[in-house]
Amino acid sequence: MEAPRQLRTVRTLATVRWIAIVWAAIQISTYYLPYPPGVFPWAVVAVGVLLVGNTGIWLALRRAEGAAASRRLALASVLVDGIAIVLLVFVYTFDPDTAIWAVLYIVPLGSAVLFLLRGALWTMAVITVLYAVREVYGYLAFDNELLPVSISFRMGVGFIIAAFAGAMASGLESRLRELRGLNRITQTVADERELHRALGAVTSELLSVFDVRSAAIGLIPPGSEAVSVMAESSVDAPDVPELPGLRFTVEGSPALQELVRDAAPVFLTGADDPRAGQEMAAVMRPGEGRGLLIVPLQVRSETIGAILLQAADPGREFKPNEVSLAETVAGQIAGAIQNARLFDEMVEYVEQVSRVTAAASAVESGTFTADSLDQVGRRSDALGQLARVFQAMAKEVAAREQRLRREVQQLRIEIDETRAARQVEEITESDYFQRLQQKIDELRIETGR
Amino acid sequence: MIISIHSFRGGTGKSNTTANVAAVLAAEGRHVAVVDTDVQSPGIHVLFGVDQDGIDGTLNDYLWNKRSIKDAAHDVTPKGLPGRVWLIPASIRPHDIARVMHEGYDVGLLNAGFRELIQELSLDALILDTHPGLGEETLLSIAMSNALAILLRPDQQDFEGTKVTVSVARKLRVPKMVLVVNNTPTMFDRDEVRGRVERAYDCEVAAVLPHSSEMMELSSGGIFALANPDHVLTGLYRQIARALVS
Repeated sequence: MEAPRQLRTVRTLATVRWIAIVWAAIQISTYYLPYPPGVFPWAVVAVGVLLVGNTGIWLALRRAEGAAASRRLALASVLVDGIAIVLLVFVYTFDPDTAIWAVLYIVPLGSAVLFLLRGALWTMAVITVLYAVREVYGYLAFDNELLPVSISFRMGVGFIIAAFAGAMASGLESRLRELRGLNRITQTVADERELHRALGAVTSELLSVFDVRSAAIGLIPPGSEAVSVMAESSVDAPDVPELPGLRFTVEGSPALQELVRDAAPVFLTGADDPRAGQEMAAVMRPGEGRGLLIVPLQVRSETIGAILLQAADPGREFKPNEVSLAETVAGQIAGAIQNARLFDEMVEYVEQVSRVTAAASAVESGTFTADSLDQVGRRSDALGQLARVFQAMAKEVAAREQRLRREVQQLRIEIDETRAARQVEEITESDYFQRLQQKIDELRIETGR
Repeated sequence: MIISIHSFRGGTGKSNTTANVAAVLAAEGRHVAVVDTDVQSPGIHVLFGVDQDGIDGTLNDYLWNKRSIKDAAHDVTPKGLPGRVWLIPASIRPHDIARVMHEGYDVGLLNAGFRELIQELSLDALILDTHPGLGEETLLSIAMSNALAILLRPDQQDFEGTKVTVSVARKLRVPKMVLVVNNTPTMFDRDEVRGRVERAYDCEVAAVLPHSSEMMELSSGGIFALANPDHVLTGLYRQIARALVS
């Protein structure tokens, strides 16, 4: 992580240096006073140092790889700048003090950009030593006055610059690292459709983002009272226990109870922390004092699981910004889990709707079996109700059809012949019928039928 | 020729069968007139899309000597048919229904009207949509017919009444009589049903019509055979028409 960033910075500084070389060459060649004897060659040497140094760095950059190479190049970069600035400012001002101040202003800045806070402070320490040696040498060789306050004042200013610039660079860098990690996690969560694989990939990202020994994600399945570890990643260490598949009951761990109750991160100082509970303490290795940060996964103010981050170093605590980053990541994961659950639910819903549809066509084709809707019928929602009602209706229809079929098989046309004959007699013997018959006969004769 | 479509019980599909038989005959290029002799409860005009408010002249007007029978005949030929269909509707005005039931009408006049209509309109068939049961008007309609179709459903409720109707029709010496089994549940074996019905009544069964959800959906929205010319039901209506006009 560090090497690519350092190399990028070395390259940026080298590009700036090309401009500086041109600018310095113009400056020394257009100086408004005649140079004192021997000074101009030093000016040329200074530009030469910049030119040769920068060319060397530029060439080396092409094949630089790995942490050691990038550190060497960054160091070379600081050195070239230091030497060139001392020489250039000196030949331009003929004043060693100004040259020293220039170094104090510029070198810690470059060093902070390249090596962050710690590197900037180390650079200042080296400069302080060099400056102190120069002062002592002046005192011994030239009987100059030795003023410790002069050393402490000048170097103090340098340290202040180094501290500010270093802190700024370090802060930005760590923020950038977090953002990159977060970005990768977001991408992983978005790209991976299979929840288990997504969680696995996220735990591996968490390892590098938080620089921890192990990172795990546990879920509290709906209706369950325990955190089940679904995915875990850890640094290569033989003593790191395998977590996936483990269950930590909420009831058995005061820390998990706190997590669910307050929906806020919980930090355990180690296995000996009484809030860990027996199950959790068992996998945290007593006596090591490695802290465990537990961050809740929240969906609509319900805790559906947790991220568990175990510190790499004993005694390490998680800084507020790290905790807040972990909470952001937890939000992402919770969203992904919720999406996956909703997706699964939707797929299941669609599948069950198609079962009801299939049942409808089975009813039509006479192949319906009532138990084909048993599973859908167990749902507690509207679809379940629909399936149950459908099932009941289909059963009734089937029963009716069967009844009918039985009747068809024995379709009997039962006629009470005596009663029918009596009715026929009643009609045909009525006066009207007699008249009608007569009339009809007449009409038939009339029409020749 | 005069054809009566009849059933002992109401709601067996008389009007629908009448309208469809008329339509398939007209589709074959024949001239057909449909007379709603169900003067007590007229309804077939709905199937032909006739709004009685918009027409002048009903069977009642003819029977009361208000109009000639031809003036009561309305051309309701559906578009695109080579033949012609006329409808002589019965009045749906409550007053008219009450009057015709109370006073009755002249049998001779009705018969003469039918003859006149057949001649005037060069009809191939005059179809009578009758009132269910065996009332006097119905007996008259049956008596005047050359061919009679009696509808029944495969339901115990219909069996005995149909037996009585068949027997009475025989006494009236209707030249051609067929049975039509309507609204038969689809799971019934139609040939089996036909055989049983023919044996029970000793009468030809012109068709066994299956229950059709399409028909139920159409309800009184139009004439099924025209909307579904290739449907199995339409084929069966043709079969009934052939049996009646042969």
